[in-house]
Amino acid sequence: MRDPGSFRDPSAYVFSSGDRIFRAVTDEAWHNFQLFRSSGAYEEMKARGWIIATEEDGAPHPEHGDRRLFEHPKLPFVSYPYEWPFSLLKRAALLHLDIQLRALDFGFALSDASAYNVQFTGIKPIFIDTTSFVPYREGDYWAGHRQFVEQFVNPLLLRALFGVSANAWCRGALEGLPTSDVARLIGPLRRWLTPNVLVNITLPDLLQRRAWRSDDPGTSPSKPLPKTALRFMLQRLRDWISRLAPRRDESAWQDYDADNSYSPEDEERKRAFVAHFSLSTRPSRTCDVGCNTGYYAEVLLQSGARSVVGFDSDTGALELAVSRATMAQLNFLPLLSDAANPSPAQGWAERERSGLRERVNADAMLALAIVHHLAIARNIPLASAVEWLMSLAPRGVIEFVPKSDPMVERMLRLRADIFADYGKEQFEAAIIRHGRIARMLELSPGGRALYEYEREIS
Amino acid sequence: MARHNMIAAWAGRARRGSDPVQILAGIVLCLCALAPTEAYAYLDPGTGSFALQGLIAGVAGGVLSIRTYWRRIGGLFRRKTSSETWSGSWPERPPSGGDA
Repeated sequence: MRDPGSFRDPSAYVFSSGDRIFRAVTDEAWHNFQLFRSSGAYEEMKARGWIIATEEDGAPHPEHGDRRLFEHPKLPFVSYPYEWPFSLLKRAALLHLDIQLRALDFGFALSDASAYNVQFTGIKPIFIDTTSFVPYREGDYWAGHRQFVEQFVNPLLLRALFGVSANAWCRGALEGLPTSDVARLIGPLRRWLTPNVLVNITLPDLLQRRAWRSDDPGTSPSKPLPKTALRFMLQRLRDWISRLAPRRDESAWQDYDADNSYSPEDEERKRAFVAHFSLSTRPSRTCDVGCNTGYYAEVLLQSGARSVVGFDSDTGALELAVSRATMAQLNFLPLLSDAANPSPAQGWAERERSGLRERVNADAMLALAIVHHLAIARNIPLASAVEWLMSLAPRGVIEFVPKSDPMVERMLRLRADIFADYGKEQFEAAIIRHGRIARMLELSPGGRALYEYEREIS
Repeated sequence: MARHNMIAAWAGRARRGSDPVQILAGIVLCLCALAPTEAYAYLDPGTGSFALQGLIAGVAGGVLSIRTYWRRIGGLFRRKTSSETWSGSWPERPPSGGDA
């Protein structure tokens, strides 16, 4: 099946066959890759874990217009830049620049700078578009500069300069955040006096507008760009991005681990319940809905789970989750996603980027302390919330938080309790509608409770 | 198409000036430009970004030619005064700026 998002570069397209991923390439793309491989760049970058492995099948395939094929290993999970927390977008940006700089040493350039060409295994970025390496010729301009700025730099800058997370904007603007818009947001002092902003945002924006206004908008490269100048541009960008940090880091949930409504004993029992679930099911792909700083993702991974993709809507907690995954070297990918509004299928023909549910191919699911956020804070009917969570994986653990819980009491403090259907019985009934309760643990009498479910195979 | 305009600009400049270096550079650029590049042209690089890189190219070109002349002058000067330490050969490429 052809990947509906793989259409921009006519020299190659991605398709899957069962569990295998292929790329059908033209003769020119094939030849370029042979050059790339024979230069030694491919082996080096693959050994560093920078680019995805590529097996070649040199026979022309009539069913693909006589194109030849590359095969790549299937990624455990496909994520999109608008789901990456700040530090993952930053890692992806740095990897892109590192690859460009190193490719230049071998005489190659990248034909574009799409952030969608970077994927993550755990929190480690990997470049997946092996056909975008093209021979570099002295004097060539960096064709991907605008795209790099709009897809990587502008979202990072919004967070670094203003403390504003740009994920929602990026989700709506698949081509990246327009430089003209970002230039308008940055004040005149910073726009003209910060050299990196001046070079990458202010001047391109100004020149672009001038070109539009002029009679001859087709301003073409009139001077060759020396390789040293190109390298300088890339290196300056790299230095700049590596210094960028979120401006404001405090958030509602990042202190949750240290400041929650559990007693140490309850927390230990909760931990043991999750560990038991992981040990008994040994899932290969777990999704953790409301992963917060990744405390329970770590418990899962220490107890037999092989990989965890976590979702949370709190940017500060996600930064801590990335730190945790880095420190403990966890196969854990924390992503920004609001459970009440997961990424939709979108882009060209509404199929270019697939929805979250379509990409989650989990065999286990963890949803701790999230149901009340969906059912009470977001008014989602309890049965509907449970059904959606259970649809993510055939087995999992869901925590129920009753109305008597201090967190729920706080949620209801300023609003009327319109949630007559929110209760333990209704919660259990909702599970039983789609499967069975395999195990249950009440953390305190009448208080929070953990449910392990097994979905009915329909 | 952009590349063809680039050739025209260079050729025009080379005709106006009689400097053989410029003519040679023009020829080299023409040869480069004739190589196929349209295959990678699926990405719109953005007028603003290319205009900016044109500016950088201009500045870099100026810096490099100043550096080259400076080296030549420096080289002449050094040849005369430091003959005792002269190793007998210059490196094939200067250690920096040699990519241009």
